[in-house]
Amino acid sequence: MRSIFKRNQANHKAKTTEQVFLKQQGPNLSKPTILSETLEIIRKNTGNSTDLIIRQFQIDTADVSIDAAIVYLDGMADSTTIMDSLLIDGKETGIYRNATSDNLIQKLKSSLLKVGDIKTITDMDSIHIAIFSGDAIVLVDGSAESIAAGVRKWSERGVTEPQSQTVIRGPREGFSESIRINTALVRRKIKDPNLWLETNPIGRISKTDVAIMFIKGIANEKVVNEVRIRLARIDTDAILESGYIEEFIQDETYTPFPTIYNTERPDVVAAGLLEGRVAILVDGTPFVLLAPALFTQFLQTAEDYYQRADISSLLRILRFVSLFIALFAPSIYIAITTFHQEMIPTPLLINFAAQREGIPFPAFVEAILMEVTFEILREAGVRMPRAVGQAVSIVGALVIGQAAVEAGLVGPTMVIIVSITAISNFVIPSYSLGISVRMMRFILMMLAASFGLFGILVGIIALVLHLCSLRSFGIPYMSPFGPLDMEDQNDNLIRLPHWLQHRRPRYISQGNEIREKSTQPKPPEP
Amino acid sequence: MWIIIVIFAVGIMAALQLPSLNKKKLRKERSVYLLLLFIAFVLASLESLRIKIPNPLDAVTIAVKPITMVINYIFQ
Amino acid sequence: MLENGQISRQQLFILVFLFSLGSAILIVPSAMALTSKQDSWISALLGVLLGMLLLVLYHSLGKSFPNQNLVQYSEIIAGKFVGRLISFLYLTFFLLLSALVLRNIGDFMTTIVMPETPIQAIFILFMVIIVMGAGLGLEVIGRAAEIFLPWILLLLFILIVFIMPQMEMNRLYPIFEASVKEMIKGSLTILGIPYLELVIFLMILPYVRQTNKRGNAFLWGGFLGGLVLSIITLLCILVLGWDFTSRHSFPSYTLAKKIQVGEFLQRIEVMMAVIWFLTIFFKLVLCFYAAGLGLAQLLRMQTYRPLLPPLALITVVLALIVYPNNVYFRSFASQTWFSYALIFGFIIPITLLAIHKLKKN
Repeated sequence: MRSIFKRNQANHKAKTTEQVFLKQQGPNLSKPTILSETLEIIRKNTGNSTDLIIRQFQIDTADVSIDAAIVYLDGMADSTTIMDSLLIDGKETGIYRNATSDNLIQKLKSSLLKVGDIKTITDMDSIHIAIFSGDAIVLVDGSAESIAAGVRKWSERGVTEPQSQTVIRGPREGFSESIRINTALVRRKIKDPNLWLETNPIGRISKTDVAIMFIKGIANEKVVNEVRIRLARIDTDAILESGYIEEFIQDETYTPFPTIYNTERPDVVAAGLLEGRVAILVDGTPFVLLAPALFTQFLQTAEDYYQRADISSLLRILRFVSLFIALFAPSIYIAITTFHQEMIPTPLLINFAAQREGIPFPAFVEAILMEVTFEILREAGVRMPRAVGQAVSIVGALVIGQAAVEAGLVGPTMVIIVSITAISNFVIPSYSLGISVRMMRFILMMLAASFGLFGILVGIIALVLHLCSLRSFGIPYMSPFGPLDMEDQNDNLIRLPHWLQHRRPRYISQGNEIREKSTQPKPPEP
Repeated sequence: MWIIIVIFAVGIMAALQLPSLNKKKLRKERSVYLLLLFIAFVLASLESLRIKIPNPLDAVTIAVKPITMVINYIFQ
Repeated sequence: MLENGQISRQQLFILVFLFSLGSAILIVPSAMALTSKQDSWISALLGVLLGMLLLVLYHSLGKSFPNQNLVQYSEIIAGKFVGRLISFLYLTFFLLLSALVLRNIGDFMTTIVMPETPIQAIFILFMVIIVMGAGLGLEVIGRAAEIFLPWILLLLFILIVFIMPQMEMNRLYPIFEASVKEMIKGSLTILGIPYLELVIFLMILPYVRQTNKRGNAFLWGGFLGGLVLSIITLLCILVLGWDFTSRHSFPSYTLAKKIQVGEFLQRIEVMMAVIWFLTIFFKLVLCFYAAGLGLAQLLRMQTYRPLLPPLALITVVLALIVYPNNVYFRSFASQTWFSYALIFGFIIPITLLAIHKLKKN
């Protein structure tokens, strides 16, 4: 069955590849020299799209006037700059007067002083890509070359506070949808020529700009190469969000755990780059990927490094505790109430029994009922229009919480367990890890219902084995816990003060490890 | 009931593993695998049908009897 | 190479430590108390010392072939036919040991923790994670051991500290009541479980990074494991008395039952069962891994992973039939097991080493 499925998939893939190529390449590889023909091809290939502006005009040289045209997409290019520069400034300075049709393109190029990024292109394919990236194309009759002027300008969201990873102390800027703004945000934090940026379009149809950013000399060359290779291997029609990239390039596909870190915060990316990670920026999304990612990274926040070291360490431990509660609380409750009542102190046991007296379901059903209800409420809260959010909170808190207990559907203890589980789950700073924990919780609950604590333990062993088998770009996912590295513990479960963190994480930046040589701050000598 | 589980388990193992063994053209591996699976299936079916299987520990006990006796003699 | 992963010396140390605790921590105190009574802890320490000699033997055999394991070099030393026969016998030993260890945890679960659950269900569930672990390879097992070790140590620490108030020193007296002979006989128990079983590490040693320095990690792991076993034995005698210890199948669990701190911290023995459970997991996964890897190497296969599920099913059946009843188990564990393990853990390795040394000269 599996093989049939695979074969179908392969066929399907082959077909779409052909179609896309036909549409893209077409018959025209080199651009015709006659302007009207070129414009006709452009019109035909774009299906006369209404937002495609073709502005034809004439340039007067000494002897003849030559037909020319500017082609751009309305809304993506700022054409006034180029119009100003070409037509008005050009005429005023009289630069075209002694031009011929042969060197007109050169003259034009030198006269376009108001535009920074200018390229000369000769084939239809590049013309298409340039137009649809927001460049303005200047075409001249009789010339095989044309000019692509980078006048991209579209309305974009400004730099705002990130929604997903908020801090109390720390920079409030977040990435936005434009890759250029994002790279600039990172560059502003690391002003070093060794911060390298490589951009390539990915996606047959979408041609999304995907950039990798790393600090030459700190980032592990092998990892950088691996990122390049894996990005080059992607062959798909569109990349709409960095989540696409994440799924295409992760090491292990069959895992609920995120093996690539994503963030909206430039400071987190900068910190990652400085530790030797590679950032992958995708145009059109504020979420930037960081690889390699370790498990422990998903339980750390940017603020850990801005607050005092002692409180940060305690908060990190608190997060680990919350992770355990979020994973195990319902299953341990089920296991203890069904299999190991002797573990509960007698007075509490009597209380429990009294509470559960009228409840018709076993603890497992009770727990599943509440957990699923909570997941529904939560999902509703995420997708709903903001205005109705209040209503859901009321329904959730009053109707489901209190009424379910009073109606005798679930016990009050169960409500407490579900609430504490839910709140603990919100403590996990990374949303992607939070999702994995939610899924694991249900599996553990089933194991607990059938085998008690023994089942939970089996689940834990399987979980740890799975986590230990994961790698993120070749780096063991659970390091520095397993493989246990004592030197990397300075920034793991606890965070030592910055003046003690002399080394970069060993597993990330292999080779260039020394970060700093600062000494302990001291009061001045009397 | 156990016999059903045994058949089910053996079926799942074969269904999951044979295709990949076939695909990788690991002939020897496949034959060893099938032999082991057959032994496992026979043993498990006999056990689940409550047919007595000779205990390997009895054989071990007899085989190492001389050593056991020597040790017992020393520590008498 | 069948196994591409490598473990660090630190991981080897942890694996040896956990392996020597696995199932021994459940069985040994009772079997020891049977022969050397209140002096069992002395027997245990004596056994640890003798056990260290065994580890030195394994280490020197492993050192002669730093990049090959038992199945590979037994052919080189003893010739093709005899070598393969030896390898095959070892594989049966590993598989049988897996079954016995599996049976230990099954008996423990069904008699004490979860009496209503059929033993088969526990076997199957447990073997699922064993197959998973063995299939993922040595590297992953080593990492998992590093993650679990702190928890096991923490629980051991809690057990030892919280049981201290219940100790009664007069249960130790009279010291040296048992004769030297009896003490040595008692120490044979700890020698059989776990030290002679550590021969399995001959299959694992070549996959340790920095092969020349692995000896220390190996010896220390075995030593500390034995030390913890001795401490547990001592605690059993101090808290339960030798008489009670010897009559119980799992005295260390009964020990955990005795923990009572104030009104609320009591009956936490299930938490303590985590220790036995995790250590047995690592023992079993290593035995099973050695069996699977060895079989694949013996038959010159390219991968051992597909063999694991059928082997697991065989192990489950073996575990079901090995002990018809508790009496059989106790007599086997105290009488036959030592002789059986002696052949594989001492006689064959030392013969191989001797032949190798003679050949070299």
